[in-house]
Amino acid sequence: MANRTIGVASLLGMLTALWAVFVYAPTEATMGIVQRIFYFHVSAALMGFFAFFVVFVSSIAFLLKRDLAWDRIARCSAEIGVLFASINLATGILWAKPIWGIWWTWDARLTLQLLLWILFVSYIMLGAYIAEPMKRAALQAVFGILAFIDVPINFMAIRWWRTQHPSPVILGGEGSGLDIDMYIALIITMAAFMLLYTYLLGHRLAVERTQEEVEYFEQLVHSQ
Amino acid sequence: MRPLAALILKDIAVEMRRRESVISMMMFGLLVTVIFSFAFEPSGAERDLIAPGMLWVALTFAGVIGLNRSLAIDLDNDCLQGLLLAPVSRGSLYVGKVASNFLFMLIAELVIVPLFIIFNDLRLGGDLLWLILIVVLGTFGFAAVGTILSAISANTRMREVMLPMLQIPLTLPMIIAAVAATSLILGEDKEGFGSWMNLIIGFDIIFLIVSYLVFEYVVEE
Amino acid sequence: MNWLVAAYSVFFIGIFAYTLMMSRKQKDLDRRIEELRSLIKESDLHDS
Repeated sequence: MANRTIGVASLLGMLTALWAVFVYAPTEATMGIVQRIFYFHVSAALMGFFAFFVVFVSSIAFLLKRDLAWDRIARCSAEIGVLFASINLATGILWAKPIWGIWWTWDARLTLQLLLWILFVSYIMLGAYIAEPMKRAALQAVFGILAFIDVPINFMAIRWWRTQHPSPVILGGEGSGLDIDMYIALIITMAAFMLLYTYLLGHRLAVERTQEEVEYFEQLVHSQ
Repeated sequence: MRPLAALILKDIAVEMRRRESVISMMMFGLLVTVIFSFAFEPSGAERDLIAPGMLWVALTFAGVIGLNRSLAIDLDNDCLQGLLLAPVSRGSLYVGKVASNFLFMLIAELVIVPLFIIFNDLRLGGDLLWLILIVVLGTFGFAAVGTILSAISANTRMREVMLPMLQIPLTLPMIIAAVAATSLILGEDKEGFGSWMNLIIGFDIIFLIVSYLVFEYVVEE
Repeated sequence: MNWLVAAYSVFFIGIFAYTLMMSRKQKDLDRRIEELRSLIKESDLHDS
């Protein structure tokens, strides 16, 4: 299966990323080796955002085409998005504690990441409470579109809010004066994450298709 | 224009009968105000810091109550089916509902906001007009988003319980902006007020348009 | 240092756990399909 190839590729990608993060990238001056969490933390955040983007596009496609295949992609991407967003939040917390001595702070980035997580979960919960497939798909698609549009607006709002009331910024020197080697390591990690996302999505879609097949056969058997 | 006016008048007529939505919103807004006063017991300067947040929490929860009542009324006796059979475009149905939800929220806020100002001893002076502007614009965004979300939650098993779960994350940027703008009004330094207002207005416009476009997918059979 | 280990463990455990859950789900579903297929075949034989 094609997905198996992608699976192998993402495994290799991960190994490369680990090498890039632990061997290739230099140690950061102020934070020490703990800073190396940064690469996976940021990549997870970006993949979460990308997964949400996929939900957005698939939702629009579903409303236009009425093909449940798009709905399937949206739902599976949302689930994987929750996975990445959770990893993002967890690694953020585990990074904050040693650096700042606090588990959490309502700085711009973390607040936005938490919100993304909440929107994903709301999307999934909405689907859990509607029975009829076409109806559920339509409603989830609408919410998916509204939620995604909300993200950039939230980004601006939270940013402004935080410039007015600054609080310790978790990712301190990130973005400002990143070593070129660190940039390369980050890009390698992000590429590996993209492969991983693609593999997980393919896997999850296959499970979902099988699930629908089972439901179809169940109906067939019960109607006899 | 005519069908739109008819929709709004219908909602007003229904509300006039028992005034459930507006009264429960007023009571709830008042209750939240009271609870916060006991929970925080701020004094003087602290009060000014907490007040904007308190106000918007009270308005948010009152708004959710109002939206849920509005939703429940439409679901009773299959009113929604009746509306869908009428020769009205789906978009007009949406706008009409937003208008009546907006109207009822404003009416409730006519009571909640002054009481809030009184109970928290807020000094506003000329800035009152700015506060009214923030409340009106914020409420509109709330109504725009809340109307389509309540149509969505109507289809779930959880019904009204689903609405705040969907609404609060979505309206968060607007709440942030409203609270920020309100605290700027209460304070000395007015800098940044314009950008916050722009955000609220932008939020209102974007969500009104997008919701108008997708509303038909929510209510179709 | 421990935090570093913890963070990366979270990542890998999370990914592997999810992948394993999916594989198990897939196997269960495949088995269920086989059951259902044979059920259908049986009742077809009964009918004819």
